[in-house]
Amino acid sequence: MQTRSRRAVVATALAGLVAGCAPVALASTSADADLIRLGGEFDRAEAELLSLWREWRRCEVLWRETVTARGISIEKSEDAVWAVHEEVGATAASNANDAGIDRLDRIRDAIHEIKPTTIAGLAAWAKAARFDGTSHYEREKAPEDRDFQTAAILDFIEVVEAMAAQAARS
Amino acid sequence: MSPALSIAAGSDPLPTLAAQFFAIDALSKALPDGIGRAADDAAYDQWAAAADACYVVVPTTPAGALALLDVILAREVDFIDETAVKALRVLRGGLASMVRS
Repeated sequence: MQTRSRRAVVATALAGLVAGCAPVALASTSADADLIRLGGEFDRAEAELLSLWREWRRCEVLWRETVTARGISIEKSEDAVWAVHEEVGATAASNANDAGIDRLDRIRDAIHEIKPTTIAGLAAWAKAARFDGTSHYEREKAPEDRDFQTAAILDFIEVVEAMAAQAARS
Repeated sequence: MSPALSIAAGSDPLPTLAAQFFAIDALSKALPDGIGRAADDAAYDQWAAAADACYVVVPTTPAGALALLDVILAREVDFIDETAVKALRVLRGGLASMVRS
């Protein structure tokens, strides 16, 4: 209940901010051009990772179903279980997902090399915090179904991103 | 403070509200153990109300965002896992650096 009531008030306040009712005394500048560029790269890499993650999840489900359907036991035939993993594409999907995570890790590290001087630059740091502090599982959920920690992080990061969007418009 | 931020000094109530929260937080931590259920509840209610007063305000300046994040970390740290706390603390570092610049 605490989460929901807090989310409700934050959501209401955010709606006001996004609608331009709350003044944001910030000006966007090009001072953080590198961070803004990295933030864009981060967005693209994160979208790609989400797609890779979904494919990996699909393959993992298929792997388990196939192993069960064929009556293969991991206790008796571990090699056969992993052969199915390879066969259904789960190994390739898992490796691709790992590569996507590595790519995001590198962009995240590059973001953290640059201290933000504007709210637009800080938005890149906020994206990195969202990636580091929450899971795909939680981010995929509807806001009311998210766990407390994800809600706490995402609420705050939404505020930062709304401020950055407001600054970009001003 | 960087002029690029164009921060309107005093336009964001969050730093003041957060200071009020942390004053209550400090008093609450100084309370002796076993002061009684009613006194405990009253102290908690006051502490929670001060945090809620921050949560209903959307920051309009980086200093306000930093103040809100500090309140979130202080209030929620026991309910957020270590990975998430670390991510928020890193973000706090960037925000603090921005506010100081």
